[in-house]
Amino acid sequence: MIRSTMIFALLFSFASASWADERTQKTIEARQGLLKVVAQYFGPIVGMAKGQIPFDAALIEKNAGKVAELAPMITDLFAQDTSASDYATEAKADIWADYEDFSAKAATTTERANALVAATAEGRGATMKAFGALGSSCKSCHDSYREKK
Amino acid sequence: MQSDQRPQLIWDLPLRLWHWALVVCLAGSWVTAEAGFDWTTTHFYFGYSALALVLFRLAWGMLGTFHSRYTSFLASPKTVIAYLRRKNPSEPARGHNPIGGWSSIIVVVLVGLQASSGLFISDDIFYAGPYNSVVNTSTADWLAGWHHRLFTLIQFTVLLHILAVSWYTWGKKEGLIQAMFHGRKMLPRGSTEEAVSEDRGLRALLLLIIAAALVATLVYLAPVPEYEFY
Ligand code: HEC
Ligand code: HEM
Ligand code: HEM
Repeated sequence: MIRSTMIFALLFSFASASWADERTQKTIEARQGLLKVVAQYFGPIVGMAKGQIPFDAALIEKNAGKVAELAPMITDLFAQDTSASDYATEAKADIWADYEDFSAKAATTTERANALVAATAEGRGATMKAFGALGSSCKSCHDSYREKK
Repeated sequence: MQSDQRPQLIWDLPLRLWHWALVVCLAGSWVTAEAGFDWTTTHFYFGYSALALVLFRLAWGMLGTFHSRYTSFLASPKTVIAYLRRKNPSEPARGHNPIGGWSSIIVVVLVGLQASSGLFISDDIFYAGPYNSVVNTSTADWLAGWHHRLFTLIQFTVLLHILAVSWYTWGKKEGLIQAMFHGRKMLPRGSTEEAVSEDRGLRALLLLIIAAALVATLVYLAPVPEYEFY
């Protein structure tokens, strides 16, 4: 009896540990997926800024709008503290030490993506300036909260 | 004794200019890497210049004057060991000593790897080396890791280099650092056979132009990344 209880307890703890682990892994994968999607919409605007593809204000307006919709999801998907996990991630534990600041950085990205949408009505110069500001908001969060490779 | 020594040309002008240009490129790459987003384009230009300088040095190691050539200073392991074991402070080396010779090519290779790895990496936001799009993300991340680690190694190597040449200059009074400026070392009167008699400036200029053109071609031939449109 005691023996089988012990075995049961052991199995249960393994199961719950691996369940927690799976949840963590899923969350981390979802985050990374989200940021890949962000980059996917961001990409063509990079190409335009570098002159690799023709400037297209309508496309920038559309893609910047998507980035503005996606950026608030960063705050959602990072809410769970995964710093104890050893699943491969570049997210720093500092995120959860100062989640307010992290969220503020995501909010800045949302704001600047919206500002980029607005700037597309004002010509190329204003658009690219707003795009530069958006890019440095990504950079600002990465500098503080993303591990260097 | 003193009157027996006279200054003789050891480092040709192209090699000296190359050395200080490399210092400028590395310092520039470092500062611009730390300075953030707006400086990344400048970082690339310093990096391309460093790459061109590396190519130049490899060519100059075959086509330069005597003490710039690899055959004159890459010593056999035996010589290096003997040099390390020597008891009496030997006569100052004319060109590189056996350790200095090997460290010179090691630094050149390290800088070459550093700049080459840069060609493939990206900050995942805006800036990407010209060949970032030809490798997959995990390869690019792996190379970016090396771009960071190698630089730490280069910093360490350069620190060691500066300590070593300072020791030879102020400890052993061999005038090594001065020689990297004016090219001359004090050598016994009789030993003219190893002195360098010309700078080969025109040849160096030509080689530098070729090296720069190679790097520029490499950059311009890079494929345009494919972007997704929805
Ligand atoms: C609030 C913070 C924050 C902001 C703002 C932010 N990022 Fe990130 N980003 C991160 C973190 C943290 C990671 C590392 C995630 C991981 O490895 O689990 C990351 C990872 C990434 C990745 C790599 C994803 C992968 O795993 O392959 C890309 C690409 C990326 N970000 C692009 C962007 C772009 C483009 C922007 C701006 C539009 C942006 N990010 C804005 C925090 C942020
Ligand atoms: C010898 C020359 C070079 C040196 C010493 C050098 C040094 C560095 C250093 C120290 C960093 C790290 C900055 C940080 O930690 O935030 C860096 C980043 C970077 N370098 Fe270089 N670099 C060189 C050449 C190049 C070249 C030729 C390219 C591309 C054309 C390049 C592209 C990059 C990029 C894209 C980053 C940002 C990577 C990231 O954000 O993860 N570098 N470089
Ligand atoms: C970014 C920093 C530096 C780098 C990458 C560097 C690199 C090199 C290399 C590659 C050589 C070998 C020359 C050759 O190819 O034959 C060399 C030689 C030399 N360097 Fe530097 N150097 C740096 C900074 C300095 C500084 C700051 C000094 C002076 C204080 C210095 C003094 C010398 C001297 C004296 C030699 C000749 C050594 C000898 O006689 O064997 N270097 N350096």
